[in-house]
Amino acid sequence: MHAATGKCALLSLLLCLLSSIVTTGAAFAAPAGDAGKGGDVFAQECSDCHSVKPGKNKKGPSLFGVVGRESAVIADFDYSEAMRALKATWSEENLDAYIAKPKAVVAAGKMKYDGLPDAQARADLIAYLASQK
Amino acid sequence: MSFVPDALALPSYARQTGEACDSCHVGSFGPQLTAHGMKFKLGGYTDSDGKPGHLPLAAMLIANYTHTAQDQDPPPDDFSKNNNVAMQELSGFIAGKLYDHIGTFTQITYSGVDKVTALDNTDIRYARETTLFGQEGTIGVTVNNNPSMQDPFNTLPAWRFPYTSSDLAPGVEAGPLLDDMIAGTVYGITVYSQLANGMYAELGNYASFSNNFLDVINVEQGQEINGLAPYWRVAYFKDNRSASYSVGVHGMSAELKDHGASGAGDKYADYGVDGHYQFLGNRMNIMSVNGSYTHEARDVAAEKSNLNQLNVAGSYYYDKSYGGTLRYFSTTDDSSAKLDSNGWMLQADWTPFGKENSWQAPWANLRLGLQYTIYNKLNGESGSVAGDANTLMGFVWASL
Repeated sequence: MHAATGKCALLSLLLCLLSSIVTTGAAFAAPAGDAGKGGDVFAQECSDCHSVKPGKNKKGPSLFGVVGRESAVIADFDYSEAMRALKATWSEENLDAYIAKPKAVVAAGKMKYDGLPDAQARADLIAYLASQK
Repeated sequence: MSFVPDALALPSYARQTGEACDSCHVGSFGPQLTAHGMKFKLGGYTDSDGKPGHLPLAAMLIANYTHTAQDQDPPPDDFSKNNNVAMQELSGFIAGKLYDHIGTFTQITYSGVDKVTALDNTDIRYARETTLFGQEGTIGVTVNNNPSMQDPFNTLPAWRFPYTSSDLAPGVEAGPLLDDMIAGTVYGITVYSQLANGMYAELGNYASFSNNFLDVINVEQGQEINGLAPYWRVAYFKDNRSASYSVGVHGMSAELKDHGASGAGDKYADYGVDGHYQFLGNRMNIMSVNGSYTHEARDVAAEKSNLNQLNVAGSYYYDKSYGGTLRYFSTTDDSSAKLDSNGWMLQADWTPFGKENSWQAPWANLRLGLQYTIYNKLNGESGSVAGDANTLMGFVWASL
């Protein structure tokens, strides 16, 4: 009886985890990104203010290794108070939301960018950024 | 000295922002601005990477070789009849953020042609972001000494193509008030706003410097403005990062008289349209077209007349380095002097540095170019007389 209950609990846990993964995946249903095209998106949308060189900050911080990085962690970059307070990880999902409409994520941030509405372009850009590490 | 309206490329702005020259300039060298550069200027030259200690100082040198189709007789003072080499300009700049919301572009130039050092283009401005009429945007005020140098679109006289030309060759003599007639001898205060919906508006007045002050800044006295000269400008400006464009109208009017003279002076009233389109894409192939048309109604020495000036320039830059520009220019003048001019200009240039990964960036900046001007008509003369002034110029333009 105990064994049966234990198996049932384990199955429930696995189902719960699977459900969680599927649910998360459904919430972030971004198209597959093309890093090659993302390089062009970066040149067009980001390169005036950001670099992908390690340690190279412009008006915006270096985006080298940004995917998976904690927010506001570059020591010698002057982040806004709002960005410092965000305390998030730049997962692909979070980056996608931020790039789509920065002010919706960091309302008092200082980045002068209205956002990139094209989901495919965002996916390509994030794929490119993920390759810069 | 006569005022030298052309030329700038300022590494101090690059050092202040951490950005490469190509972020703000087409072809990685000033003064033709990208949309990003236009916004930097409208923002009062104050954007930065947030780090302290940036010195707002820069320097620039232009040297050139000038060949005209026929020898000039008499030759320019201190130069030969033809094939002249000159260190045309050596400039120092105070350029960058001075304080929160306050920045400047201030140029002091030694002319190797006139052999004189003088205050050149100067623009000090205050700007800040705000909400106006329910729109986010930038508002500012500029104090400057050359009407149109404060404009961000490279369509009006102060910063339109050609960005450098020879001071040792014959040139077009007639131009409207806005085109260098009172540059350097006046000061103007204008207020402006650039709203998120694309509307740009600017309004202000100019007045003449006193003779004493002109002596201090070493600028040659010209005619002075009688009272104030109103300047206005409205444009629609859009930037989607892949491309940008503007279309606008501009104008200025003034009554000019000799210093100390009494009675009515000469009256000038300028009205014009202008616009630009710039394709940037991924920055590998940049194409732009800039144009302006200005009509001037004149009442000079009791003679009423009209002057019309057209300028259109198209350029292409590959890899932010290799550029070609073609320009058509025309001036029609129905006064008794009939100083009509028109012709073409072609320029090819190479800018080896100015990119993020360039050697010694952002300190080392260089542009090498060849420019050829063909006159179909020059100051009322046509045929071979105009053709004699056709000019080939080779130039080296460096800044740090």
